[in-house]
Amino acid sequence: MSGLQPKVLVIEDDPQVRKFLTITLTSHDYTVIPAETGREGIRLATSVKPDAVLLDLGLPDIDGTEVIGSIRSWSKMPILVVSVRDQEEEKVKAFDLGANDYVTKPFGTAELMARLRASLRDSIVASVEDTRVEVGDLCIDLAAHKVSVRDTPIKLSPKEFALLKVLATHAGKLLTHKYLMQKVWGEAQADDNQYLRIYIAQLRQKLEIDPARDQFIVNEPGIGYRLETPARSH
Amino acid sequence: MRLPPFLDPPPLPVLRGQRALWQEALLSLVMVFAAACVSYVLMQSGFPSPEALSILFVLPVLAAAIFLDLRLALVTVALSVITYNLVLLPPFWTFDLTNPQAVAKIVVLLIVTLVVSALTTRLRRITGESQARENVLGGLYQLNQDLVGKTTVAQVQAASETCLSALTSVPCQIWYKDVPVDDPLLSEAAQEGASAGAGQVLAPHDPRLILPLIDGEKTLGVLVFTPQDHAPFPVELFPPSLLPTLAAQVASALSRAALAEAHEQQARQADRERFMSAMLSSLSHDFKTPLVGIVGALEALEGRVDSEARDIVADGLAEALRLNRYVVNLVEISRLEAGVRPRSEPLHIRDAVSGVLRTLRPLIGRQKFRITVEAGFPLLNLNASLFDLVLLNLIENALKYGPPEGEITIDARVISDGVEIDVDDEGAGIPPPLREPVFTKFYRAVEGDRKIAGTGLGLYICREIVASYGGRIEAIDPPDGTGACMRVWLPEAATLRLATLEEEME
Repeated sequence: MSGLQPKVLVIEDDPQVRKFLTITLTSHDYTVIPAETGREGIRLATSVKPDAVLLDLGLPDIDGTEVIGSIRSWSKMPILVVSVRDQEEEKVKAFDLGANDYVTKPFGTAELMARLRASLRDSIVASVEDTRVEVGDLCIDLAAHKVSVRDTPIKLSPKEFALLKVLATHAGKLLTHKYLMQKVWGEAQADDNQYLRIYIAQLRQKLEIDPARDQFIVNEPGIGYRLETPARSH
Repeated sequence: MRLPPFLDPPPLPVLRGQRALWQEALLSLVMVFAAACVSYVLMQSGFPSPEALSILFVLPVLAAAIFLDLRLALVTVALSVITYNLVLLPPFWTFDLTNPQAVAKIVVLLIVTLVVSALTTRLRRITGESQARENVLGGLYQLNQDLVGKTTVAQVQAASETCLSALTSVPCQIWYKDVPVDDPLLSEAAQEGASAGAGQVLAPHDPRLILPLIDGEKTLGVLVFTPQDHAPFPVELFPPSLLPTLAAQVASALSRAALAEAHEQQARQADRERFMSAMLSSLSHDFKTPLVGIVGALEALEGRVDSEARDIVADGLAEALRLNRYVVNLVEISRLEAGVRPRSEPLHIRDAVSGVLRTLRPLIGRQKFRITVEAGFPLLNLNASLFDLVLLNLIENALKYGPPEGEITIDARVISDGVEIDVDDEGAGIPPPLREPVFTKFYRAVEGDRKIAGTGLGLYICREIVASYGGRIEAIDPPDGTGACMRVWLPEAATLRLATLEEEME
């Protein structure tokens, strides 16, 4: 039975947090494989071959970033970093080594589940060509190039639409500046992310009709952007 | 009249007590009188060769040239020649220059005494100079000895002051870096890097002697000799031409010590930063780990309880998240105060505002937000987490102190020397006398006996963060006339000038 449930390797040294993660994940139909140390985590990742890894960066034996490097040397399994280290340097390092996403402690269950789902999506379901993407009140018709927020049509320029399209087709996933630049502007400008920030700002201005409610695009400083999937989906 | 000693230093006496000129004049008179008496008595008692007695008159001249003021040596020459004429040359007791023989004797005596006085003077000057040089060399050596092992500026300063005061017997003081501004001569000397006072080009009539401490091109400070009781500077001990050597030595010792100090301070600061960083990240870890448990537990409960209990759980969750914000403030403030400066990156004001509103979403009720960003507003170049914290605290305050259905305006503009961001609410506002105190650490708004929840750190950390980027934050008169308005000003250095987009900017 558990073979049908996605297996998540939880590498976390704090017993309370491990317990809460286990309960939460189990209640969301995941099979949890707990690991207390980095070395144990690496060993289990090899033997159990989980569908995803939840990794705390501050481990007692080895640094969490080492675990990422080790797993990445042989597997593309999604790695979600869970850490209190809210310093950008740590985040960027974890991403450079191949982490797929990041939640900063303390995080809500809904947020964690959304990230985990998004991370698993690529590895379980090969890209579904949906023509219509709905993210909360935001509705994007990819075929008709139409965007609306609470049924108010939004007029976007071609570049803005292209950017939103990339974000929407990976809704919930954190996309790096570089990836977005490559997808929207092409290889040549992959390193200049100042345009990107300007275009994201323009997109925000148009989409956030009510700035207190419509924060669809989430900025992850130092790394990139994500289109937030609707929270609170219990 | 006293000649400025450094412009025209008189030849240096080898040994000279503290006698006034009139006392010395009297002394030379006494010596001449004594010579006259001795020769008179000898002649009256039938000394076989009265001519030889003229040699006795050379003695007072010699003594005066060695021991007395040099002007008195010449006076003594004149006195001796006159007395010789009166006492030893017939007719006695008259000054008669008609006898060619007497004139010849006087001329010979005059020439001899003059030559003796000139030679003695020369000898005395040479001896004096070598004595002074020896003093200076000894002084340099002494100073060197005293400066050995002095590693701080204060030590070097104290040792040099003591040593130089002892050597010159004039109280000496060293001003390093902060030369007192209320003494214009000191600051001028320091600025020009020129010596002043006591006969120097600058303020020659000032009794003090001020020497600049120059190391390489930089003037580090000044060295001030202040003679007591308006006594002249004892140039005999230290010829002024040699004093700059001493000053240079002090200067180089000072700059060496300053360098060592700076180096040590840097190392200490780096150590401190490493330590603080490690401590803060462990502190932040220790605080946040239980919060993860609390937030997670409450969220897990939320879906499993009835609607009444769900309200309670939601309150608990909101409080836990508030506690988390306080912890973040506390950790960030310690980080800033420890001098840890996190990495800067390009940041768009809209990204920042949107992220903060997302974080604060649980606190936002029916308030409306109006966000205006002026076209051409540059990207900011600062640390996103820190800047988020500024906006977070300002917007949280606006939510807390504004009316439940009020409007919160965020207005970002470009001004001549940077950018301005206003956060304006429609609450009661801050009375002008409190607009400055609200930024002090642990300040708490008190209204009657009602205290509004908070740590009193929010605005303080805003100010600290903004200041660390060279900016300012203040509570200003609200432009719309109501509520509180916080204005953040950031200098151009905290922004990025953009290369203009060549395509489809709207």
